[in-house]
Amino acid sequence: MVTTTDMMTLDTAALMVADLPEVIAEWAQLPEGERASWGADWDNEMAGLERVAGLASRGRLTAAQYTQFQLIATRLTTLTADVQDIGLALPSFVLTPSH
Amino acid sequence: MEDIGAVQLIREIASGTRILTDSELKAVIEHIADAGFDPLALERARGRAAGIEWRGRIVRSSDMLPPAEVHYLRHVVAGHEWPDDTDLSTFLSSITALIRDEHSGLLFSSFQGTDQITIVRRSVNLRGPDGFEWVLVDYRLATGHWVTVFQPHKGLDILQSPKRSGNRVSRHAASSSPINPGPRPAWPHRADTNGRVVTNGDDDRHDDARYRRAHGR
Repeated sequence: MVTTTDMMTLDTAALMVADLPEVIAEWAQLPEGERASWGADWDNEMAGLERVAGLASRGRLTAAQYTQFQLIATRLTTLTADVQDIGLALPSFVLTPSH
Repeated sequence: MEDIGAVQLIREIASGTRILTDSELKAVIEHIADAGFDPLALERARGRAAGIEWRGRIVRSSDMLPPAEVHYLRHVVAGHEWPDDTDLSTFLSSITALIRDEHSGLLFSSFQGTDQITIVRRSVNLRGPDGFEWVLVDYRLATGHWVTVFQPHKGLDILQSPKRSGNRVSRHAASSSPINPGPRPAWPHRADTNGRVVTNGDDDRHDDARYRRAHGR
């Protein structure tokens, strides 16, 4: 069952992924504290997104939720090299896609 | 102990040249509890805080705000990780109290190649509608301040992230809390012989289910 927390996770991940191009462009100039903060939050939200990916693979998402998840996954796939360049981790479903 | 003493202690622990005594550990904890977010820094609000009404105006993604406010807006107002009636002052004081709580665990590690101290405790009364079982605070040695505070999706498994290395537990989180005296599972991680934090196989999701059953939540 998809909970409100799962939906919140999807929305938060979408917002972070939307911020990614700007964060990647600014990364080298960001203060050390902000890089650490953003990196830790990123790890956490991607862990949450892994849980949602499990729901997606079991067919538990609505059509709208699945579309949102797919948009996030596609965006992450597009940005994979840049994300790895700045040392951020990617969820396993991006590195070994099965959806 | 002077604050400078605590800073020096932290540096020596980070370099692996000292094991803390109880009084030294207390001094380090006091230093971290008082450190707060950097009051002189500014962080971009970005998408997670954008659109929230704050201090009489709508926050834009490009706005530069103090880190304490950015984290409050992201994790409390937008993320609902803390109870909905939590204001900024209550959020910050809850973190200070959590760090001082003798039931919190304390871990030295490196994240993105820089030394930090992570404090964890069960969220109990700090858990909001979309919160999780644990609260995590990262204190950065380089800045001398907290850099982030949140309730991790996967509980203490986040400490196993490959980005976090050299984990050394200085104090284990306790199995219960004065504000939650009911039966709680023990700290589900321990340090192996290399000082690396490892899980004992206790699954946070199961912890959660047991806790909810035990407390009728």
